[in-house]
Amino acid sequence: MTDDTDKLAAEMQGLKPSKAARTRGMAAAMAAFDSEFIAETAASSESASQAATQKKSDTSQGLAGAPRPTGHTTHAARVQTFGSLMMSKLNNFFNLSPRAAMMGGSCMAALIAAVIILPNHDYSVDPLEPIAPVNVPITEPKTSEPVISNPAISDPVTIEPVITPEPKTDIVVPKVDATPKEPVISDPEISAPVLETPSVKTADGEGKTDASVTEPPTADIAVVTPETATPSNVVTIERRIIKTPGQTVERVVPAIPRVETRRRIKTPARTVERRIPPVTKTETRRVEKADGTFETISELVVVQPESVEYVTTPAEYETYQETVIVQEASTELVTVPPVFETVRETIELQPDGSTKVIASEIVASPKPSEGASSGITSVGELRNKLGVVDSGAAYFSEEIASHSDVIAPSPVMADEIVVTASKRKGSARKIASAPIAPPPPSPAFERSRDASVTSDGKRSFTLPEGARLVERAVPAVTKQVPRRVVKTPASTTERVIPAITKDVTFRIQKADGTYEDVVETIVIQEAYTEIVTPPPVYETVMETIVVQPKSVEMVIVMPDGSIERIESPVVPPEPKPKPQPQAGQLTAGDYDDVLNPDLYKVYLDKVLQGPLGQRGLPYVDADRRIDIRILDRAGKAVPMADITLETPGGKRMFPLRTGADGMAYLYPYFDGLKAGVSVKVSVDGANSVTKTLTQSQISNGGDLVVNLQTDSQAFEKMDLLLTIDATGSMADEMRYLQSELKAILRRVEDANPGIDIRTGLIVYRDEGDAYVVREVPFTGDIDAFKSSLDKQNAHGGGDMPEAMHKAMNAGLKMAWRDDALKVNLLVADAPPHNRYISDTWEAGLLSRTRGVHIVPVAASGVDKTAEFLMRSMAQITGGRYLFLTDDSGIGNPHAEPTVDCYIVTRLDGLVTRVLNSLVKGVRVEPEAGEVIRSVGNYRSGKCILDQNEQAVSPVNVNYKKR
Amino acid sequence: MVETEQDEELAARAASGDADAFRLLLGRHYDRVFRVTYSVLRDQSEAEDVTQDIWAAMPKKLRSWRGDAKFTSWLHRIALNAAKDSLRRSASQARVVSGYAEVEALSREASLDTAKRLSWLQAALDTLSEDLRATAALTLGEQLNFAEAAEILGVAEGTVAWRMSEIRRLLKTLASNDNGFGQEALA
Repeated sequence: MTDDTDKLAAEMQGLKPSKAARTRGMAAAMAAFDSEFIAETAASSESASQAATQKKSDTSQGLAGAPRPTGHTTHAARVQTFGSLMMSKLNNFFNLSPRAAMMGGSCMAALIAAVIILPNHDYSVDPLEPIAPVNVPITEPKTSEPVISNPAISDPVTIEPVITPEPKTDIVVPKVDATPKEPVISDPEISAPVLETPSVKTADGEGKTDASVTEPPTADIAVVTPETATPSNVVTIERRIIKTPGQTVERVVPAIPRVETRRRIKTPARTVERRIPPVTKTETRRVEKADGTFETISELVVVQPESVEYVTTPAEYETYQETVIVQEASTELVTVPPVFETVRETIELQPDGSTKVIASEIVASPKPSEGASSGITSVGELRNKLGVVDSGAAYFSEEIASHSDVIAPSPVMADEIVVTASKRKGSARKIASAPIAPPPPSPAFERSRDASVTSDGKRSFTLPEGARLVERAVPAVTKQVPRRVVKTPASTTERVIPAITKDVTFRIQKADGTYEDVVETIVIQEAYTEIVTPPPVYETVMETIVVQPKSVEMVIVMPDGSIERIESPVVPPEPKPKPQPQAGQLTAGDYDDVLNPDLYKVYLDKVLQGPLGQRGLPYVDADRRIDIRILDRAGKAVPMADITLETPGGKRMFPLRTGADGMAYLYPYFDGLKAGVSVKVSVDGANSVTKTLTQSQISNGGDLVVNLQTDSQAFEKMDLLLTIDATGSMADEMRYLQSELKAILRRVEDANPGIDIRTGLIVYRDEGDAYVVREVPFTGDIDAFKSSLDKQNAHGGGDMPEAMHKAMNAGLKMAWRDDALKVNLLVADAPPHNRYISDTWEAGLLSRTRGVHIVPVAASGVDKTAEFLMRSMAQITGGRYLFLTDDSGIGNPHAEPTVDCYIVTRLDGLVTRVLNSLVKGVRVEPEAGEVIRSVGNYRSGKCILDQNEQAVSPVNVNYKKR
Repeated sequence: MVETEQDEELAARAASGDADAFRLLLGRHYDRVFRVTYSVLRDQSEAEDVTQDIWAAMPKKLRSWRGDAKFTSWLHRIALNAAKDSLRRSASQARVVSGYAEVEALSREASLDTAKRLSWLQAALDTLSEDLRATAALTLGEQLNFAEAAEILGVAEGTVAWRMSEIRRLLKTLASNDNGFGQEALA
């Protein structure tokens, strides 16, 4: 931001209404609020008053959180309320402004109060006494729950079934008559009401006749009914008991493999050298001798010298089966619900109120509901699903234990997992230690540990009484991941294309007047050599990656069986000595998201559905991009054409400017485009052309070609800004640029004769460092610029994010030339701080409107957020994403980019090519010898995917704008 | 009442008749509405009136608040629309409330105190068109990011970015202009 905008921001933020206006406005707002909600609050006040009558002590309606007591029943309050009502009515009737209504309503209310209410008011009545509850009859509270509280139940003679006032619909309790019937239980499993236990005391464990239900825990009582014969002290109850308690089981979901048929090269392509013998012919000539006579001589003439032909035998392929992991193995928690059964018990009620169970029988065994057939609803079903045949004591057999752990309520021991799934006593068994996540340390223990860290960093602590220290081996966690590797790298071969010849028969007249046919071989096309670059051959291999190495950890088994972890001090690995970069040694790849919009969408979908989706990153819908292509009368691209967008209503949206390739890009969703938006294209010296976007273009994207009656002019100037993260991690890159930039610029000048290049510099660090942003203005003096660049060094930083947003905004303030190609080479490895992601992205948007191409160079170990921002900024500004690779072995490890294909060359060559591409408007590819490595199916910046590796976008993507 | 309670929670409670929640919202955001309306209207007393009207209508509007957006975004949109409506209405709108002139006079008196301070701001705002003022009110005055401002203004982020470029350019013009009052902004 400039000083002016900062000043404007400060002034705007300091705006305040006058105190009088604020006071008046807030009072009006509160009055309007009272008016709006008066009906509801009056009703709620009445309800509250009723409650207050029953609870004499509760008079605190005005407490925070409770509805505001606007329905005061004092006369003064009624006048106020009436005023508010009048205000509301006036407002509604005359459609007045709220303030006018308020004042009018208040005046009328005051008038009425003065004339009617106040003179007739009996002031002997305490004005604060609530009026509403005085004559309100106290009604019995209705209860929706069936309550059995009849004291007669303790009387053996007068026992009666309880008639609940509002029985639930699924239970019908008949009234008692001479021959009471069995109650109808429509669905006792689902919605049996919970009855209060004092009404019927069941004597668990007493008088049980069925050994199978020994000591069953009581789930709930289904219903109470009297004995069918005569009312007596003997009743029959049915109650639901838990047959098998519910459990939570951790189940391992095995990986889902899929066998895929792939093709690989059986015999690679071969190039064979073949000798082509010389082509000769015998020519007959007449030679004049010294004596004036002629002699006919024949001589051998070489039509085509001996040559060598290179014949390439195509590669032979074979298909093979490969197992691909579609879904990694994982664990899931399965909740097995408890199994119930209904027991009918005959109970005799004793005179003292106690009960005695006379008989007990199981009347209903539960059956799994049909709806649950697809899931696991019982332990038995789980066992069946897991393939356990034996249902005996070893409830969880060995093979199950190897891939499933029951989360039991009992404590998990230090070096083992105790399975207590079976209801049989003593069936708990030990299984091999499995790499499960240990429980987090308890806060109390955490505190005790913290308090006992010694000065030398070692931890000492006192074991709680009864606890013991156990060493636990944590096995290595490995993962099989598929990886595509280059089986046969791309190679460049030279092939000689033989000459194309044709035998032609000439008829020659001899001296004697006769004719002779002479056959002569004519060369139609000379032999030449052709450079052939077969693409690399890939294969997918499964690699075992150690996610977490094998380790040992100490745990404390607490007296209550819980486990506390003791974290081992983390020893950072010894840093490896780094070789210093030399000229031309840094290697890099590039990825052009502009050329791969569909793959860019896949990338966005993956990133924004992941953890980064919460960071307010932009979604640029490149897959529906509208490519505006401006051509001159000769069909050549027109750079520097101004494009202005207007809404159908004539409002200006934003401008764009074409690059050297005559292209500008629109993103229908991101740019908020609608059918009817006009695109006006103009360039100096030609009439402007306006096109209107159609709904089809909005929905599907595509090309929008605009022809101008002009002759295009190539860029003759370039402003190159280097924006460099100068924190400690960027030392290699800084040194590299210091040594290579001059050579890069010279090569660009050589490739574009006459181009006027200016360079500028912004180096940045972070808040709290020696500086945050430093600028070197644009200059055409490359030596002076190099001198400025050489003075910079990379220090500071500390945390990962840096002040990228400030650097990008500073770049916008540089004095860019309007008619120059504008390039901002952003060299960084870290994102901005989270709170400045928006600012950084906005600098990218501003760059777009200013026609600045952002070319990010992602340096050592670039962060994923930084990569996303860099690629997005390159996308919308027509730049290209460059990234350093590890091929040189120089510098810090570089993050593997999440791009689909690229070729690796030296960084200086890549930067030169990208700049040349931007100046010329045509993509410049590396020479064959420059390519160090190739990844994916790279075709001039576009990634061509095989049929077997179609990019898959996550389904159900539904983004909201940030 | 917890001071740190989210605006959205307060708005939901106010919408159900909780006066304390409404009062808290009022205290938090009364000036915010004024800032936005002033930026568009460029007149202290007009902005005070519109702010008061907005807040007096707020209880009714709260009933239609669905809670699916940030409360401040919703409030900003209301403030902007009200200010734009006010711009379009006649400046000489009839006042129906007797005695209003006295109250208004008090406001004007207060505003005179800050008139001097506001002179540069007034000139700056006069340089900008209505759309640019609305954009500046949100991005500079309320410190919203482009995406948030774009959502409230109903335009694309790119449009907000371009408007910010225009604001910067026009302010630069204002600074370089000796008479200090710049030129009319782009329509």
